[in-house]
Amino acid sequence: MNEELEEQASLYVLGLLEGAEAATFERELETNVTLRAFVDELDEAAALVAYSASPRPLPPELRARVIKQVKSNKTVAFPQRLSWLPWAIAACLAIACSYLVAERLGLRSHITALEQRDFLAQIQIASLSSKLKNAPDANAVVVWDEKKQRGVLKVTQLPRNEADRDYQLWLVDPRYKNPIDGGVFHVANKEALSVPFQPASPVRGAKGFAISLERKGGVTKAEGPIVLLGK
Amino acid sequence: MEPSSLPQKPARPELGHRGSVRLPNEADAELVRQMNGGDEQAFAQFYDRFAPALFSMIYAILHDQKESEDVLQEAFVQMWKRTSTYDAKRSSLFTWAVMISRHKAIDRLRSRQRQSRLAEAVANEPDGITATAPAERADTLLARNDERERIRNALAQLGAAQREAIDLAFFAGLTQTQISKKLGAPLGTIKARIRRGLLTLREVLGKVSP
Repeated sequence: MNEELEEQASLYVLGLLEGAEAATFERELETNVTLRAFVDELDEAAALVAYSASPRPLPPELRARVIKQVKSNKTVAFPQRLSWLPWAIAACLAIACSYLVAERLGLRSHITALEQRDFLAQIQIASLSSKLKNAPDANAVVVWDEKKQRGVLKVTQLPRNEADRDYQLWLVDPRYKNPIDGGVFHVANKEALSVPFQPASPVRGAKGFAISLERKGGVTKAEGPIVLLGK
Repeated sequence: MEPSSLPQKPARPELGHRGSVRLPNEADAELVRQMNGGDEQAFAQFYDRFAPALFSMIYAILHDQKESEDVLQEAFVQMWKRTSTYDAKRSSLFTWAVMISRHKAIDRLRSRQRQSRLAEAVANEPDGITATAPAERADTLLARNDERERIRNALAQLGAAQREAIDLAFFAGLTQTQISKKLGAPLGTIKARIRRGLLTLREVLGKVSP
């Protein structure tokens, strides 16, 4: 092994290689078995430098603290026979991410379409996310035209509401003490639903949007649980 | 909580001919297997073996009791979560634990340095064993001190310039450029000192190995 590589290995084990230099060295390390073995040996030597530290008494109570925390983290330690589990979880997450990305792209294209359809300047677009444990994927997009004081709400995955209930949209305008009523709507199934709306009072500079589940016909001031929220 | 077993001397890699390190360490691998299976007793044993040396190292980096305790705790929790990343064919368990703990301590140090310069406080911090040292078995203490003494003797055989450069990298977490500036030596010289120092250490440790 040449001196240059030895030098890089020495710097590497002490964490002194940075950026592109470190990346290049690590690439070499992946394929060079001799270098790998050399780095492992230098690691051993470097680790022993730890012994040169002046002895410092270890607080006895620290042991109990560490073990207590480890016990609370126990579920994250995977037995070897279940070593595939983290990979399975990672795969599931990857699939879920792909799905969400696709969903987002779909939503984005919908927003784009809405934006393109509406030629007005004062367009505000908000994405509302679910607060429901039983429907975490529920979401909505609000396209709000402040100038015309009207908008379109598109809801997806929201659970069907009971006959004596309605979903109600609220617009948050800091000038008012309470959110402004944006109208009610009914969800018969989980398919996407588009609802045009107009607030009950003029709204300027909407800071957020919310959907709550209320009595049939709606209320003047939100009483029921918030199911979707966003800005 | 009382230790589940008597503290043992920290694991040392076995060193073979011409200072080459002989691996793997079966005892380490077995301990990790047990921890990997969620064995808390094994973890307690792991803590008892390595925590004293790791805490001293972390303190030497941070010079702050509270921060050192926090970092030691974080390091052990991380090691517990990541036992599957330990490869007994590549390193001793001690080396693995040192690398993780040092990395955390250096991260903390750099984060702290970003906020404020505590060089004076570090310089004024008293060092050494205080009167509040917990009771420890005399033979364990002697064994550990004996081990530490051997390593210190090995380090003493390094040239002063080499030792200084390695210490600044290991304990102070300085970059190559910072070490070069602090020691007033060209970057190339610093790199060469570190290389020669580690190679010497590797050889010397082989000779002093029991």
